[in-house]
Amino acid sequence: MAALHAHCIQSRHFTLAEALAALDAGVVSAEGLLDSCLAVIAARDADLYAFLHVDEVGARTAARTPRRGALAGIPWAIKDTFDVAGLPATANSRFREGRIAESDAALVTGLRGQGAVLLGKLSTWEYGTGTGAEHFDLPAPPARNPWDVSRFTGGSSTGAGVAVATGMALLAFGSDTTGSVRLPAAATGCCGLVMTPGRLPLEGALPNTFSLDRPGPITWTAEDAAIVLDALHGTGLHRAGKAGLGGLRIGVLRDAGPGFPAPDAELAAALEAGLDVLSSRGADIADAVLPWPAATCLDAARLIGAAESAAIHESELLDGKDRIGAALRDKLLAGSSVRAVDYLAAQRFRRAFSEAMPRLWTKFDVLLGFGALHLPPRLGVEPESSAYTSETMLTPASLAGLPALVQCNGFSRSGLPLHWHAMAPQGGEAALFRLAMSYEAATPWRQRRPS
Amino acid sequence: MAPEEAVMTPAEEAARLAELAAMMIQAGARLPRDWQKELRPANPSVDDINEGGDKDDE
Repeated sequence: MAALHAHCIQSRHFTLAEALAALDAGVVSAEGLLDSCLAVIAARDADLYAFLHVDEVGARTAARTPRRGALAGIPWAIKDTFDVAGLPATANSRFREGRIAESDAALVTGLRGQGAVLLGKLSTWEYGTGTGAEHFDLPAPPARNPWDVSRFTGGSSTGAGVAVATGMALLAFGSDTTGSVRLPAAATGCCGLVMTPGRLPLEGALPNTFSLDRPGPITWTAEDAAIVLDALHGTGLHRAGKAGLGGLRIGVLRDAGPGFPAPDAELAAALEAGLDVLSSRGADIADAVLPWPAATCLDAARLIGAAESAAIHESELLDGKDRIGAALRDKLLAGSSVRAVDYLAAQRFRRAFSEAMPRLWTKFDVLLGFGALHLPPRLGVEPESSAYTSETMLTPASLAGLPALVQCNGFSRSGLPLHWHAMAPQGGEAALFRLAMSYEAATPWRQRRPS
Repeated sequence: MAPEEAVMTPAEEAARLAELAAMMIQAGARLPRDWQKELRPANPSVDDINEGGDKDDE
């Protein structure tokens, strides 16, 4: 079979799984695959701002290396809060301008070991944190949503979903404290997830908090994510994901509870339509209710997150007033003002919430509901932008340290991606992939890409 | 170059701090407080709940 040229690969929009198969079959080369990603970056990133730094030389060197490893030849990129030896590591902050990392983050080491080809560093909110508001005051302009460039990409891993949805990369890694991987995946129509804490390493990443940060992949399909996680952690998720839905017990969270608005109508309709698909394929579906509302989880996560961020980055707030962006400044000011009794009240709530969740796991393998309650908002338009980030059902999984996954489940009338959010007990990633891989195999949503 | 929006006068910063502190106090006030005395807070010094990354789904 003749090797495909870059423009053919580009128009084909390979998934990661398809790219591995094509590489194995000799239909494409690693260099050809890399060329196709670089071509998309060249064509589109001047308008989308997904990358802060493209390492074409390093990527070409890696692509020429003989293929070895489960992800050999796969072009990928990482949020600029993770260190990569010899590359800029700015976290989109004036505090780190000119900084070159001396060593690889553990995650980078792991992916290099599997033969993946690193393309470069992806855009982020300053220090991988913020308030949900966009102030247009960071060194790099905010990334743009490829489904509608006037729309927000989700944060704080702002470039990760953009890069994967457009085919600039077949895999991106970000970090997630209260949704910073899952929200960008939701906004851009990708699959994004966090694993049970400790399963993926944080060493070499700029911390946001002490106790909530988790790295996570963004891919076009759930199958792609399973392949990546199997390569990094060896959990057998790809095999598990092919087990089908028969007997899978799914609890449905149809609303966030008191304190938050109802989800947008199109998100609600997509959930119901998706449940019909799951039910028709053998899943056992029943209603579920969280032990406390998502709004209470947000209050606790805000107190914990802001206080811990301020404890870590206090010096930037005190000594860097001429360099700090408004969102990071507000986050650290807020964190500096958290009363100790409120921080501890949040931690007591976190413990109580985490200890209450196992009662749900006696009835359900997966809890399925919404991630964001709204469609991707207009970038920088308040209160839309902040509401999109804060009014979510993502924080329960953050507080309790549960594995959780966001997946595209359709498109709005205006062409924006819809999504749902699933979570499972600690160690229960296999159930997430049974749901997500079965659903994506039964639906057409992975055929559509942002033009 | 300094991000213009972020640079505040001391008075502006004091006002912003008061506004954000009030938001944090309100968030704390919304949390449940009627815990049994025995409920200890989660330990923030423990980074990872599953530190060993046990593969218990196999």
